[in-house]
Amino acid sequence: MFLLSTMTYLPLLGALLIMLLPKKSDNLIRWVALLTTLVVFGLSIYTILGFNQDSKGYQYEEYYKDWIPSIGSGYHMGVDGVSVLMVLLNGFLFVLAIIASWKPIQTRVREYYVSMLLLYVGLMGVFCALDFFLFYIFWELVLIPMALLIGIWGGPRRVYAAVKFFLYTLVGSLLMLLAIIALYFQYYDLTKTNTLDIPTITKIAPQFSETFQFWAFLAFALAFAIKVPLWPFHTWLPDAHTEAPTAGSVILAGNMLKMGCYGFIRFNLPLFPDASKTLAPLMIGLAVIAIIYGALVAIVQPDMKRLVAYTSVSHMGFVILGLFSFAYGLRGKASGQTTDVLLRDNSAAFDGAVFTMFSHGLLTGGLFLCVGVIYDRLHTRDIKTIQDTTRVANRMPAYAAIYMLYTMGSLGLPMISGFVGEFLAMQGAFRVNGWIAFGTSFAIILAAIYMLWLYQRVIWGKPADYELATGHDDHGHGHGHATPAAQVTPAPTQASSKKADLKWLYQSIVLEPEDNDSSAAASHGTPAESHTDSHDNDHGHGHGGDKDLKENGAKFPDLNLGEWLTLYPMGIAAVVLGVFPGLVLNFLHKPAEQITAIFVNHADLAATLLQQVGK
Amino acid sequence: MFEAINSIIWSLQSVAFAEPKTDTGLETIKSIIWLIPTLPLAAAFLNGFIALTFLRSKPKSELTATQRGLRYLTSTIGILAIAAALLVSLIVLFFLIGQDKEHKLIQVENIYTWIPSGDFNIKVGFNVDPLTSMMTVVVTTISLLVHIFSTGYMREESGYHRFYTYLPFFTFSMLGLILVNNFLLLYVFWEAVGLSSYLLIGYWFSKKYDWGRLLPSDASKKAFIVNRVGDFGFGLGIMWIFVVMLNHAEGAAKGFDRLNYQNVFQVFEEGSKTGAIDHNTITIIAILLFMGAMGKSAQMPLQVWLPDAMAGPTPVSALIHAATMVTAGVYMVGRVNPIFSLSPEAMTFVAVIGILTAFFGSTVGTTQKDIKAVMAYSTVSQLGYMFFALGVLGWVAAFFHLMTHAFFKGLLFLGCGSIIHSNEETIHEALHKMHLVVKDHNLAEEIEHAIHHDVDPQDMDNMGQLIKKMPLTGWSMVVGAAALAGVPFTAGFWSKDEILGQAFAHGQYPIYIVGLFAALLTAFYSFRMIFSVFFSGDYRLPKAMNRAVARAGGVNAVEFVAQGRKTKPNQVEVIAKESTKNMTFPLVFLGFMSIAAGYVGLPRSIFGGLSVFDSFLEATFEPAFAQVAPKETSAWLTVILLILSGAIALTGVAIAYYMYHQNRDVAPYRARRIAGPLYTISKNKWYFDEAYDLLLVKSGLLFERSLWLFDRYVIDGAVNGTGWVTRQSANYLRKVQTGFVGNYALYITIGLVGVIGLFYLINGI
Repeated sequence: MFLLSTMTYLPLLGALLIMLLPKKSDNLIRWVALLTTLVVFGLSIYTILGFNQDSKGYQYEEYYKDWIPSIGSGYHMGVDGVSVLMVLLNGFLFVLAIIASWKPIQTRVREYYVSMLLLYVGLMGVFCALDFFLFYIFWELVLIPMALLIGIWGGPRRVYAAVKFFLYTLVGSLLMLLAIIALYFQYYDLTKTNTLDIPTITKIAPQFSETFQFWAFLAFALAFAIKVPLWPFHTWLPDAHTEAPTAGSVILAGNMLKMGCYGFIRFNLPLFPDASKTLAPLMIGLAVIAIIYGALVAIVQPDMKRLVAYTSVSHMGFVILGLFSFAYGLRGKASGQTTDVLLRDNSAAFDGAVFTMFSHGLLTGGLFLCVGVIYDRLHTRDIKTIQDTTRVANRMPAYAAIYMLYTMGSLGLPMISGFVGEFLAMQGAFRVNGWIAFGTSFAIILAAIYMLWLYQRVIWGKPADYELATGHDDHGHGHGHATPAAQVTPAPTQASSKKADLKWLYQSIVLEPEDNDSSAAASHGTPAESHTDSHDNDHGHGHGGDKDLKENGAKFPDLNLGEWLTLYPMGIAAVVLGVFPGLVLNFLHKPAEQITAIFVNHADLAATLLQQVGK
Repeated sequence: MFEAINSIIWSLQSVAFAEPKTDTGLETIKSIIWLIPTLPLAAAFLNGFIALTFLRSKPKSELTATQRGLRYLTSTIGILAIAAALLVSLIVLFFLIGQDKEHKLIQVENIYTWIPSGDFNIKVGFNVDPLTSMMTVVVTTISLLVHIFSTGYMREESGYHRFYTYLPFFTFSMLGLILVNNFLLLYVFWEAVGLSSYLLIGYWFSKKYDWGRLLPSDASKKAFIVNRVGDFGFGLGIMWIFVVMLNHAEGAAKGFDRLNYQNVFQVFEEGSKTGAIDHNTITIIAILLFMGAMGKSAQMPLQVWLPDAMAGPTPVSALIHAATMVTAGVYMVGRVNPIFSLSPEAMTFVAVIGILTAFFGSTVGTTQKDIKAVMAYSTVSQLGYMFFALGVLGWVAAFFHLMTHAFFKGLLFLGCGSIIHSNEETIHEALHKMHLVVKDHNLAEEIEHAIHHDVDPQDMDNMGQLIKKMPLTGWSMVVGAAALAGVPFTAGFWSKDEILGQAFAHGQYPIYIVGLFAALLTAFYSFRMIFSVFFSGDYRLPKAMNRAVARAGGVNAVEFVAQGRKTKPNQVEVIAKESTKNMTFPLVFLGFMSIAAGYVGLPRSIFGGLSVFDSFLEATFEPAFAQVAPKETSAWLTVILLILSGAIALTGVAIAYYMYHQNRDVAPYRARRIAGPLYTISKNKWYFDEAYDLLLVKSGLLFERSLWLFDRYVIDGAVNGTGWVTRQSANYLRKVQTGFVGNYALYITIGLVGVIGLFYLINGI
């Protein structure tokens, strides 16, 4: 009955519990956080299993009308097909994020997990809230813990990134607040009652005047466009991603960007159908620019995370492209067509958009986790430095394999989830105009370029010998070579902190038994053997082992348990969705139908009004 | 699994004993088709699991006995799976042969709905007709032989298990591509083939030096990206088909699959007949689809990836070039023949691209020194033949050539593999002995480095007289090269002549003449390879090694000696060896096929009903033949054309014999001088790579970098600028609040005066 509220506030409970725990008990804190997220994940699975795909409207509703009667705000929670998917994505990604923070986060552990769980509260609430007041609270609640995560546990320029992130998105939300207030008064003008209930306001949305729709649409759109982020409001994203800790990036890409898309679906389309139709070309244009621009800029990024961040800009463009192709398709044909026909003709674009939201959470989340794996070992994300340091594929085959999966998913290989959404969105765009699809299709070439080039440099290394890192513990691999490239990365850290980092690095990585084996085996190699090995290697066939690998294999272990548990489930989920996209798409029929119904009703209303005026 | 085996046995029985036309037979066949792609996929997954959990990237020498067992298990699994797939494919083939013309289409529909989204319903299913069936047999055959061959070729590889994960996956992708019944699924497997080729080409990703060739890590990326350029058009074509279907199949039931082949073909045929679908739309759709084929099948101007794909292990090259991947484009055009045949313009486009590519490939092939490069350009050229055959409406001829080409090109590539493997082993062996002879460690190192750097085991200049050392490889390659050259009575002779005959029959004389000229060059370069590798002069590898050592400064320190001479103390004996049986068996088998495969498709005008291939495949091209009826040259003309092309082939062989067997030391150089710039252009592959590098890669990077600057300084600059302005203005405004009462009193006074002044100004003094 109180399923949604339980899911939303359970993390809060977990956060309170963690605050009560003694400060030193890091592991206990981690376990509490993990258990909390696991329970919520379980509940979210329970929610989605019990969700009726074929019924219209919101489900699991909780409605206390007189929460704050003076402003007409009620406590209203509920999910439809779109938000229930986002709730599931939340549940899944937070479990992985907690596991992914297990080893990397060693300072201020308690505060970290409290922030994480508070973030969880906000994100769950955003997707469940059906009251503007409530929604806005959750919307802003998300900001603070995220800014803290970036600002405290982030990289060298973390404060800059956190402030930028906070202020930029705040500006957008303030405009949204303004628009919400305007809506409130508009509703009052029309009905002489006060309410902030989203479904209620949506019902009379068709009566809003076109000018009002236009401006309110823009105000909402700006807030959401910043969050998505849509070109040209995207610049906070690369900074935030680059500086955020791994788990923060996963949540940021996986869930927070979806808040913007969700906003478009929940508010812009149903509340302002007229404005959506008239402004659809603008939004489609921005989306196409975002798709191509993001991909182009991604190609030349020197930093892994920054690169992935720009690919996010490109991928999120597909969401907007799909949504507004959908809106545009609902246009012109007006009252002549029934809801059914309109829906059938256009729902592919909508489905594509939402599917992209979901799959982007998995694939980009996965890519950020992959970056985190490298970062934990080398303490750099600079592609050139990684390339010059070691040949990752030889040392970490399991990692190379799963990284390949994410790479392929991200560049849109069919049968991995990324393809379905992007193709449907492009297909929808093609129906609007073939040239839009033509323009966006360049993204499939560009995606191959940035992803494969990244993979080549990071995983396959450079086409030359690696200098042997001779294993001085205070001058480990990576930093020995890192000096030239350190100039590239902004604000290089102090030498002393570098040493501390390395020390921490060695302590924190728990070696797998297998890796111990290989290092033991490697140490048996006689000089004569290694001689023939190197000869074979020169030969190009790699008959023997990599000398570098033998020397340093033990210090550069393949995935540890935590990494297995995060990377592989996510990859499997992406493949399962790619092969059975119906699992997600079936949830979208009713939401799409509802939006279509609003558009059609509205058009009908306008038509009848016009007729009456004519008479 | 048992059910699967049972159903195979059952179907064997039903095919062998039962009436072929009974429904139970059809049902059984329908129930086993899924095994064809699934078995290799299962093998890939199993091997991948074994590789990741037990073997990782450990070199062979470090494995325990169990691990070695597992290592060989992977190849066994692969071979068994492909063999089983071949068996099922054969069952299906023979079943189809037994059917009437009207029943030569088996459709397994709606296994499950892949994408359910409004009117966008993609249902997974199989579509098996003679073309499909022929292709599956060819693919599985070649793949099986490559799997077997690789057990020898890749024996010492530390990534053996990885290789045997990719190889079945590649086969799976190609089989899926052939079998599916839907455009979007075709695209799916189209991409899957791209992925598996990427993995296989990049197999030796850690290679540091490849004698000036593009390194695997770059080559694989290049292959994928160039293919993506083709997919750009392919994807758009599919989207456009869908939109057309949307407009012209309005009354369709819910769940109607608008990208299913049969549905699409039906709508297009009717739409074209009634004029409901614009003719230009059809043409553009066909050309967009063909763009995909240009990528996958390496047609100009997207041919650049294929020669570099040689960076993969040679068995992979054989698989890519002979049976899978590159034939995907040809297959696609054949599969979509109901749409292509509606647009003569599109067919002309296909023919022009095809003949250009055929000419391009054959010119470049004549000057390459790398044995694999010769073969690569020959593939480009032969694919061009297939495309212009399609373009001049010789549908069956194109696929006849595809089949024979699969056999002889597979043979030639595996043969190259055998030669390269032998050369590598020889060098390896020689160096091993050198280390025993040369006591000075530094010198030995130097020699080793010099040889590794200078002696390219793929360079034909380092070969000669190998026929004596490797007779099985040698003679089977001679057969393969003869087939490639179109020497009379080989498979290639029949198929190539049918293509040229079709060009002639359809009145495309310019194409015929260029095709004939390309055939001359083909015959020349294929026997140029045969003579310089197997026959002329002496065994050059020792010489090449000596030269390398001399250049490195180790003169007289060590001398490599070919087999047969006496070995002196400071000399190292060099013996080339025939490859092991698991490598020669596929060669011999393919050698047999390179002759035999031609006799299923003898020219119909002479041999009439003997041409089994034609009558079998015709069912697939029924829609195309409905547009333009098949044409054939008369019996006499056919004989004349046969004699002409046979003579052309023999001329080419004769020139090669004169230049590379009789006068190898002089003639090639003289020819080079005479050809002048033509030689340079051909040697440099018409400068395609250089042009792309400049126009796309370099300028592209420049553009992207400047866009990034724009992003940082203009867009982000605006954002940070806003912040800066806010802060600065706040800074100034802050100074207003000084905290002194006097100042505030002053402001109040000024304000008051202002207000009063305003009041008077408005109301008039």
